[in-house]
Amino acid sequence: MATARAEADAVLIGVGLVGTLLGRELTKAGLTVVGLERGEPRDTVPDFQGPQMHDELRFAVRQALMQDTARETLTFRHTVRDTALPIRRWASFLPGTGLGGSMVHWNGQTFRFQEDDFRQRTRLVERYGRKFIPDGVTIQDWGVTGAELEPYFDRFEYLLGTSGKAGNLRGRKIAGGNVFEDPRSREYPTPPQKEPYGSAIFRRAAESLGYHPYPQPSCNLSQPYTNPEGLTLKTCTFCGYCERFACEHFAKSTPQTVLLPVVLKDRNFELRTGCNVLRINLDSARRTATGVTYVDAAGREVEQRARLIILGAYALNSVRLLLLSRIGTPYDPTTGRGVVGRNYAYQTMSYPQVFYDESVNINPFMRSGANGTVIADFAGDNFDHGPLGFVGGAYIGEIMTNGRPIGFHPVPPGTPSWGLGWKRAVVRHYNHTSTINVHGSSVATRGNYLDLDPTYRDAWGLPLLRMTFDFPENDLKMSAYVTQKAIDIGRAMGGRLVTGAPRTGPYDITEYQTTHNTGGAIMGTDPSTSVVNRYLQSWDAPNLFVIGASAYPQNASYNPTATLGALAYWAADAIVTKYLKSPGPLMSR
Amino acid sequence: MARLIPADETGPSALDADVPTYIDRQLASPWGAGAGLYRSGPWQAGKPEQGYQLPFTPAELFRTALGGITEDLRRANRGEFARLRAEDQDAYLRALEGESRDLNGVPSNVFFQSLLEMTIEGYFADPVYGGNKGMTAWSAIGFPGAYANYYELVDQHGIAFRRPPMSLAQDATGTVHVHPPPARPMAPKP
Amino acid sequence: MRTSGLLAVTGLLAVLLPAAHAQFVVPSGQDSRQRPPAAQHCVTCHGERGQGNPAFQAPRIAGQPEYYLAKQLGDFAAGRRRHPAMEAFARLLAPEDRVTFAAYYARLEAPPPRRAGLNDGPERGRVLATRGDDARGVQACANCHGPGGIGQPPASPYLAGLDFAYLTMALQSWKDGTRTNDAGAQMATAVGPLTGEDIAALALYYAALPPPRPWPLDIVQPVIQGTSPGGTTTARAAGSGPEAAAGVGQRAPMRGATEGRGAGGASGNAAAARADEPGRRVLQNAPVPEGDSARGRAILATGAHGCIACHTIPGIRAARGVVGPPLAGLASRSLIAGSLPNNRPTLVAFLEDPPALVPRTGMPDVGLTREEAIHVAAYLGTLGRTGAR
Repeated sequence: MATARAEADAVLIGVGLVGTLLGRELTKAGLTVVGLERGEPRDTVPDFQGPQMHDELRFAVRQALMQDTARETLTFRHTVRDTALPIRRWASFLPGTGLGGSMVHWNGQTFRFQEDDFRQRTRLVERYGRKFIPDGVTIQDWGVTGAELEPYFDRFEYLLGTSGKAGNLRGRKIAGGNVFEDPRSREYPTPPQKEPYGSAIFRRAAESLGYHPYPQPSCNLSQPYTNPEGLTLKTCTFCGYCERFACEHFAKSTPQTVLLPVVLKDRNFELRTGCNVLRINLDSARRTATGVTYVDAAGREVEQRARLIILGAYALNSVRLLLLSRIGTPYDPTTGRGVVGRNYAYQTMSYPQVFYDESVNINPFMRSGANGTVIADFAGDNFDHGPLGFVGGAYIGEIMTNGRPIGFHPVPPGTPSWGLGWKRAVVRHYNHTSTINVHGSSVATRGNYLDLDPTYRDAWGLPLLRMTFDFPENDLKMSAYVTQKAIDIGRAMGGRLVTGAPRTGPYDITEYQTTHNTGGAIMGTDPSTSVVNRYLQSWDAPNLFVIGASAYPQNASYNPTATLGALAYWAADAIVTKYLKSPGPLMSR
Repeated sequence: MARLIPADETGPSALDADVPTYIDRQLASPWGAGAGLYRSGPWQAGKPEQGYQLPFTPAELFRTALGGITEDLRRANRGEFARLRAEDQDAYLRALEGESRDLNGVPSNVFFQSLLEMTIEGYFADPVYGGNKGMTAWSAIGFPGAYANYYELVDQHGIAFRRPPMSLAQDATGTVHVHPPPARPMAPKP
Repeated sequence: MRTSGLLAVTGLLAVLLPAAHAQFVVPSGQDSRQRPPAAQHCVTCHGERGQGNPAFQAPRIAGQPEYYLAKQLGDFAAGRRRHPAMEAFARLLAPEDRVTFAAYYARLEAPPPRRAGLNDGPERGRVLATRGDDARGVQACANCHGPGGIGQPPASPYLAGLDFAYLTMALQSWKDGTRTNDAGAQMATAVGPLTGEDIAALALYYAALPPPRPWPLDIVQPVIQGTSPGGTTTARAAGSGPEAAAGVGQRAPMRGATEGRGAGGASGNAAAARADEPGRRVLQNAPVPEGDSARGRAILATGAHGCIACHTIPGIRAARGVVGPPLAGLASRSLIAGSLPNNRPTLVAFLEDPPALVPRTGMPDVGLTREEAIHVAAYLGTLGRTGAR
């Protein structure tokens, strides 16, 4: 029998990026807020300190900061014709856990999506005609525009202290920045990070081919920065232990370094860790959420009533919780009806490599998570797709983040996988190789979706989330095209050998690609094709907001986090200025 | 071990680098007993892209497969693996890698992949875990280790950086305090 | 600060410096085992073995990373770090001299400080050093300064065994902003939130730790290249930001590098300009194979490259030229052509193309191939002070 706790004004499911941001905005608006985080509490001191943090085996290989698959995982299959089997160990993507969520161990790569991404269907039809979008590709407009989100991007970047260089200031294009980006109201809060050697080589090669390289926007800061909340971040030291690791240095923008201390001091905020939410409860009419039921660290079931619920538990977890709570109609790929689980997308990656002469010391260990130089010339719709027959694109860059040897020991194709030949090749090439990232978009399709598995369960006895996904033909075509462009840049980089292959199917869950899982609870203006409206408010329960990359109708070329932060501020703004004043649906169905 | 990563002038073999110690300790650790592994059935074979679907923990996988290899070699009258000639050892390893011989329920290629992964891990991990003895593997490739403050150097493009590697577990005198072995091996699954 | 001591030192320097000037600008070259003659002036404050002298607030410098010491000297010379005596002294040194001094002190071992009267101080010091403080936003010093404060070369100095007064003064100067030569403001932001008590605790903690043995030299070796991949020039030719002017590890030569003598900035630019020219050799500090000295001698003896026309060379009777210097004792000399460190890779590179490395040398490119240069260098390497070794 669940014990009941006193009702709070708001409850946060998950205290990662979304929970921290919303916790701050809601407590500022005078609400009492309970933040439920199922992971452990943790702080930069002592939990992230070195030298213990610089342990590749523990954090990068054994994934110490990630969710424990022993207790809960996903099942996976390519199509409805297959049987989904459990992902018994993470590989392709690594959902995080713990206070601060994945934003503790992210790389800090901070790109804004473009207007072409937010209004993707409209823009593609305008530009190429209705027939251009391939059959079965279910991309949609988001219901919010880039122009509407600009002030929220700005706010998020200034909270984080993002290091970068503007490419478009209020309409004026600036060489050296991303000249394809939408107009920004002001420059980045801190200048770009220093450029490592391999990235400089990439930049010259890209320039020589007529492209527009610019420094990757980074939340590993280039200089000390005090944000509007009064928290100070330090200069990143390029230690090469960024993604999958926490930062000991106060130099990475994480909830701990940019906002949590302020939230935790607020007497209207109560943090409860070790609390795993099992379901969101609705009233008997099933039109209003009444609160959540969770299991605390001691295994006791607790019911927490709340007037407002913010679900921000990471895209996959949020979708699962909606399905487990039976909120919204689950998506059925055979009929195409239903919404929860629909439009799941990922990221389409490939990695050409340049092998240099031994005299070229790349020093791959002197890197940060978001350093380096990229081009957006082939991202999104920044190039003419007319003759090409696919939609979407990729940004390309030499943005290596580390030289940690268990994971990084590049060898040319044809090298044996073990033995003397392997070892010699590793020693020869370790310090003399650049990897180019081709970071490609992921369209939504009718057949890629999320639902609950019929067979496998988690440690609490609840069905696991089932992922049905394979790379759409469209994205493979896109990858072939853009990877070739990247290889061409690689050839201009002066190595002795350039290798590379586009992404091909089938999707392999055993190979790490990105942890950019999007969709499943997408936003939109039509409740028959979206789970939340343009303010990320549930169509089914107006006092429930589902905030995260689960809202993305499809995934763009860029990394998702900056857009997620902007949407979180956008939703918070709608809640505080509109919803709280007049609770109810913010859009009519 | 000595065949997967042999010794040569560039660096030590995996054997010299104490990788077997690493593997033993990992298998005896909670990870070896199945921590971080989803271990509910039903157990079904899937496609390769669906990943590992066997019921064995890492420790069980190794124990079972090694038992299968010993039997296999005995049945073929070839004696112990360690006594084979280097070329024969290589050939046997290649066979394990390329085929899916049944080693008491463990496909040989699955075992081989795990063995190779763990060998590379033990070779390149911080010496605190028992392998990478003396950080010689790190020295061989030029990886400087756990202490990593490179702000002043990252834009000095192309420098040769020759700092001796530093372990997260070394003290002021340079002694690496290796994690002690687990108190007792994890009990096998009944 | 002990002004009387300081004045004494400054006075001493004022008297000695003009006379010593000639000595200052003569680099002692490759062998940093010998104390550079002009370093006798360092001894006054920093001690006979570089162990420091708390009376002058002169820190222990023995065994500090070479890169770090050279940077401090460069910063003093440029006014990026302030101290009247150190600024004056550093300005008298040419950049390659700073490197020589840095190398000398970097390999020096000095006895550990006397620990009488020192205790570890409050636990707070150890906690700050190894864990940091979340409320203050301060990370563990050990992240950069290594376990037990032994430093993390090349950029982070050791703190263990520095004296309490100096450590206190240094931390305080980071905190109050009087010292600002920390790259990326790392020290200012790390130390800024500390209180006076924190500083005292840290200083006590580190002062009580044993100083480390010296680290190896040449941790950072610049590589001067011709056209590097993608057309970029390496070795910081495209410098921007504060480090561009630092002159250390960027354009000033490090041990083993082969820059010509001259002011750090200018020669750096010259090197960069030369590096851009097409056809310039790629020069690396990569190891060079041992040559065969007998073959080298044979190459010299043929006269085909004109060596015998300009030099006297022990072991080769026909070599009686007086255009260039005698090559007797070359192996024991610190410098090649009066300005390059004498080591095998450098000698080989010089032989291949002398004007590329020393533009105003009288020795032309005599047409030696790389292989020939390797063998000739091997023979020249046998010409010690007392004849062939």
